[in-house]
Amino acid sequence: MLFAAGSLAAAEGGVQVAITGTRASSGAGEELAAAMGADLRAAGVTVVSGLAPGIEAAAQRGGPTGAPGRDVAVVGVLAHPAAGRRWQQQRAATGRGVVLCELPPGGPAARWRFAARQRILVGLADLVVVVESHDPAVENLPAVAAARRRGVPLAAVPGPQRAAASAGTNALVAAGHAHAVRDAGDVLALVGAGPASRARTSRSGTPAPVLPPELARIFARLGPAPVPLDELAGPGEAALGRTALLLHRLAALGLAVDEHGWWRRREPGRDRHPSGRQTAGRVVATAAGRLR
Amino acid sequence: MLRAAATDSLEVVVLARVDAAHLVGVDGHLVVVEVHVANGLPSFTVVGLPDAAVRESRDRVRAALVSSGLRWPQRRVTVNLAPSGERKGGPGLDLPIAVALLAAHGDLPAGRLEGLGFIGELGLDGSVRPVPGTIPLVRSLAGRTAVVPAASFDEAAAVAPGQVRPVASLSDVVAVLREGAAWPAAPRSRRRPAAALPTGDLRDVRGQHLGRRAVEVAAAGGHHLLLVGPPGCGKTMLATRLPGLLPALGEDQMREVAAIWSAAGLPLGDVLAGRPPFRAPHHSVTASALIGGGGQLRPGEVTLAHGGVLFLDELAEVPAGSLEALREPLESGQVRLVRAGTAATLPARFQLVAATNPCPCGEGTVRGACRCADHGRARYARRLSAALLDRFDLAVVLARPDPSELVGGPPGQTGRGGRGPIPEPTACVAERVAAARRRADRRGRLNAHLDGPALDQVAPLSAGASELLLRRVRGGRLSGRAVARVRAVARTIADLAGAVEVDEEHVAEALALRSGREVLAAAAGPAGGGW
Repeated sequence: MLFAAGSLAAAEGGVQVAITGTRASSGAGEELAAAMGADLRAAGVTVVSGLAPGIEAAAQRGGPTGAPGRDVAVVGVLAHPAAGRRWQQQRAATGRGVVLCELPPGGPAARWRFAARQRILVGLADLVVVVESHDPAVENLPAVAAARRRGVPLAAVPGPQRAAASAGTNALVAAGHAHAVRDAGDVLALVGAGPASRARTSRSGTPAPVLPPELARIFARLGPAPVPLDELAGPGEAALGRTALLLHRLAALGLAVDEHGWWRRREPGRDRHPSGRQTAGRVVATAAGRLR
Repeated sequence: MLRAAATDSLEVVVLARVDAAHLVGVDGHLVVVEVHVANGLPSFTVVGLPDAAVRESRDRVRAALVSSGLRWPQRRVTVNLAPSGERKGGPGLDLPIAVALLAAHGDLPAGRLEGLGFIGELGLDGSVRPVPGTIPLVRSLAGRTAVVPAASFDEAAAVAPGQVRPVASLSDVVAVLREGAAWPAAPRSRRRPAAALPTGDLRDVRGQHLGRRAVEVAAAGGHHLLLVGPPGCGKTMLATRLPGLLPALGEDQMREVAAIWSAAGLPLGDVLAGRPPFRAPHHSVTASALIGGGGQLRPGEVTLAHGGVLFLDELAEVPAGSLEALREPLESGQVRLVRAGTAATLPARFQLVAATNPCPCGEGTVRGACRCADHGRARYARRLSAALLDRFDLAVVLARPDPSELVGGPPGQTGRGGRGPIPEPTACVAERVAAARRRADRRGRLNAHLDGPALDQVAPLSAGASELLLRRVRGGRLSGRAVARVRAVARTIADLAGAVEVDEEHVAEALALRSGREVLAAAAGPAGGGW
């Protein structure tokens, strides 16, 4: 028996893809999960996820009302965590989403419930995508174990070999348990739905801006993952102030983002422009940026 | 003073008075020891709120008198410690009690006691032993010649040269006062030359350029510093390098600090050499050990760090009560301790340096590397209240250093593959710090103590600098209070660069040097942070 809040129609028919992954996600992982979720929804795929913080939350951060597409959230306890409750109410009210739970509302949160719900999540999905995972012992992931038991195909997003948050997904791919996917396009190709080209719009990339050489040198060193200031400034303390200033200039130009004092490139689809203007990019993703 | 009067033909009343001092907090208070000897059953009573150590002094005094070949009066002896309403403690009253007793029954000429004050504990063999707090005690005997234990002579002479006399035993006192001998010569000074820097050289810190810079700015401006980073990245190493960058204590400040350390019974060598204190209590420190307390109102670590650095490693592991107790002295620069019987105000103007992991596993500075449960992470970060974090002008996140910088050649050689310059040694950086401090001195105070109106006057911002700050405020990344703190740090950075005006480069660096607060704030935020 399942309890549901919202429109059950959201969980019926069509292709359903589950997106899951670690709670302790990296910024890049969340970004990827959010883009994948939005692109899949735009391609008419229903996104199934668990509303847990980290990857799962990012995947379903689709903008509360105007967002197209359908979502199914399978939760361990209804209306938990408190912040997720807002999403549940908003999403359910639009008729485009449904929250499912095995237990009647109001039960206490317990660790096993969150693991147990993965089996429902897997049962609903045509494909399970793991975006980031720390544990290289892949059997430890409840979703992976459930998918392998039920024969649901698995996909994983590989990451840098030394990235802690990609250790699990890399292991999945290496062991041959999962297909390697990079984005929504690869996922759509796997499930055989939607025009892949449309979903690829999120990989537009930033057009190389014309910058004075000093700024260009710093900009070239920025990537999608945040880097500490002293790594950008090079050895010694003398260049710290100058580098910090150049980074602030890049930020004012809308090219860099200061994440708790570490710096990365601004992603047009993910970050709000510092002037408050919305730049080219999907409305959905911009709204998502505002939510965090 | 001696008065013998035959009030009755049968009773002889003898009274003697001797000046002494006892310790309250870090101050000496004058005590007058009065001894009254009357006919009656032999007894010895101490009145005037003595503590256990003072009550026990009867047995020490008796043994010392007897071993020195002096008489113990077989009469009714009353010792009063005036002012009698104040609680008195410590063994430092042994010597004055013994001297007053000798005077009261005529073994010492009372006239010779005028203008003298006595400090010292007695051994059973009649030797005079040092007591903690010699400096403040001698100070409270101002205007008198202080007779102090020979072992404390150096300490006392440092604050009151010329008006202290050393004695090694009770017999010395008797020889001088009764037989008219000269005061014993001062013992040969045992003060060691200032040892090499005990805390290590900045040259040993490889990589960590932001951290090294933060320590330099902290030293130049007196700003409180917080280091956030994974275990083993060099937080403690950096923090212990700070005292070496600080300028030597001034003459007045050295006396003040020496009095505090003397009151705590700590060795004074480094302080008298002008080295600022560096206190690093273990993170299990209790509130009263940190702030001060106990029956005798002993100074706590914040007071012992007065004029120097208080280093708290593993800040998030320090008990919450101790952490919150820090806020008041951080603000006011002093601690007012009040107990039922006594009260004392202790100075506590120190520079706080703290180090902490960002989360229980320690890896939380890099998103995605942390293995903690999100609620565990939030709980850890919330141990540091926003009110406490507000006191840190500088908060930097440290990453593990680049391996190639760790395995670079020995000091004096460039790192492997010619990577980067040799890390600057403490002496070089200290020179810059001293120059920056001189600029601040001309303005009258440390940059850390600059506030709103003073900032407008001494830290005018260039157009670009105010633009940068405004953009930050508009983006919701900086509060009004934080703007003032950034400006104070930017002033210090400008001082280090020898610039008059605070430029946008200085502000940008100041912003980078406080970014560690955002990491902790993000960890303490709602679990997951995504909703």
